[in-house]
Amino acid sequence: MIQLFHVYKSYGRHRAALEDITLRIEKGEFAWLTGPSGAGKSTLLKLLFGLEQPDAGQIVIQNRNVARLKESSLPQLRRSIGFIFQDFKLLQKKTVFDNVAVALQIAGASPTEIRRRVTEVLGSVGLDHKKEMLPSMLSAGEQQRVCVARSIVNHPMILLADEPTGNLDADLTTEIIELLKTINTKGTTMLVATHNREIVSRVPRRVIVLKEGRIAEGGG
Amino acid sequence: MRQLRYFLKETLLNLRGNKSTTLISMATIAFTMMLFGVFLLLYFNLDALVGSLQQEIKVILYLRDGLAEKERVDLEGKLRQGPGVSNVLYVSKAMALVNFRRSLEGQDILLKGLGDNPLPASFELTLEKAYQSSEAVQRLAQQFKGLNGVDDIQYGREWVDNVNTVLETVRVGSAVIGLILGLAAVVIIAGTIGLTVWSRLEDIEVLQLIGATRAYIQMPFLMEGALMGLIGGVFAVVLLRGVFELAKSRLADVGGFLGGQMNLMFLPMPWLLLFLAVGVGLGCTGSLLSIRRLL
Ligand SMILES: Nc1ncnc2c1ncn2[C@@H]1O[C@H](COP(=O)(O)OP(=O)(O)O)[C@@H](O)[C@H]1O
Ligand SMILES: [Mg+2]
Repeated sequence: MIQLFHVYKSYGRHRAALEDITLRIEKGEFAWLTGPSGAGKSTLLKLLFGLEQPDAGQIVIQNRNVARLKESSLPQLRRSIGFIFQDFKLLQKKTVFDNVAVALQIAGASPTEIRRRVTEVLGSVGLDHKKEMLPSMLSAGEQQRVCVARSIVNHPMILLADEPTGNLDADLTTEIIELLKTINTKGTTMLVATHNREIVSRVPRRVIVLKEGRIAEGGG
Repeated sequence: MRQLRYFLKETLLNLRGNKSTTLISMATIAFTMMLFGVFLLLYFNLDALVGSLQQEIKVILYLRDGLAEKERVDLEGKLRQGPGVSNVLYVSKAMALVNFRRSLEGQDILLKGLGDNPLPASFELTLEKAYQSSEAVQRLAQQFKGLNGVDDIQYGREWVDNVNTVLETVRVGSAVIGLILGLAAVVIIAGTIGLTVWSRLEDIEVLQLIGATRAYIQMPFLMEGALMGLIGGVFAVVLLRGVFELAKSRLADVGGFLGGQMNLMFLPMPWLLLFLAVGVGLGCTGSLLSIRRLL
């Protein structure tokens, strides 16, 4: 499902953020991506999502090489992958409903289709009753659930999450992790970056550890 | 198109979000376009004026003195058969003098030294529509000059040419000024759209992150520019109408040559539509300029 072959990435003349990363994540797998701050977790996810391009190496997602995509192919890649951001990245002037709907709108779905699917996914993250509210009226946990809803509303095969609980307290963290587990049981391949070892140990799955841009454990 | 409603909603949101800037730049656009419209109006009316003057172009053939009756009839026959002439009026020497006396009414003193009737007989020709341009008149005149019995030819060529020169000047002038005003409008719109884009940079980033295409992201801004151009254009037309009515009533007061001779006309529908289309075009150009630079 996701494969990396000898991937290198550095920012400008800085020390390499990723060095010789070779990795394979199977369809339907749930993998933690962990390591200390600055280890390169976010960089790895950005490469998969087309937010950065590798200096060397190949990246294959669903049989498509995305290492050096043209700018015009990026929207297509991003629509096929869900991404959960640490800071939610919600549209502040739009309602919860519209924030989720926009992911379908950009793909040209019909209004009836949008209404049906947004209502369904908001139900599944428990926000059906708040769909007319603005993000600023929601708690951090609720905002993150909106972000999750938006990332899964068009049923991506892959879901990437970068510190999805980084801005949440313990209770809300548990809530979001449970949500991610549920999504994974429905078949979505999941790669979740976090520096929080405690939640990793609470949900025992495959753990990929990065240290100073290299894979220290869990590669292959 | 399904997404049109979404784009329209975003566009209106953008317009409302930057209310004061939008209003100011729309007013500026309305004013610049109105100025341009004044030139159009001027051009349009001068053009019509020249058209009506050309309809009055008359060619007068003065006849050689002592022309025999038969020669005169021959000449008249030739003129009637020839191309371009719709009517031929014979003015005898005596008739010419009567006309001349009448035109000098109250100044008979001037006629004292006239002695024998010095005025020539003449044919006054009215031309067919297709021959009423100054070039065509000139060509016809050349032809008539060679006819037997014709002494001299007079026609209003110089005068028509003068008006044509004025018209040409106004045309070039409005093109230049239109270009400058258009450029100003584009810059104003680009600046305004730039501000909107700036204020929505966060949302734009989010859209890029979730996989919106460039076109999708840019469309509301493009439509914002188009709408500003359109609304500015509509206001410009309203202002222009006001200016027009004012000018018309002033001219009617003053009377005189222009007031009496010409009926001022407002821009006809196709021109107005073109005018609005130009507004939309300016708006799109302005926002494209801005979007290309920022997104
Ligand atoms: N945009 C950037 N410009 C320069 N250096 C960067 C940039 N993003 C990340 N880095 C550097 O790359 C390394 C890895 O960063 P990152 O992938 O964010 O690590 P993590 O997510 O594991 O904390 C760090 O040394 C960081 O300083
Ligand atoms: Mg990070």
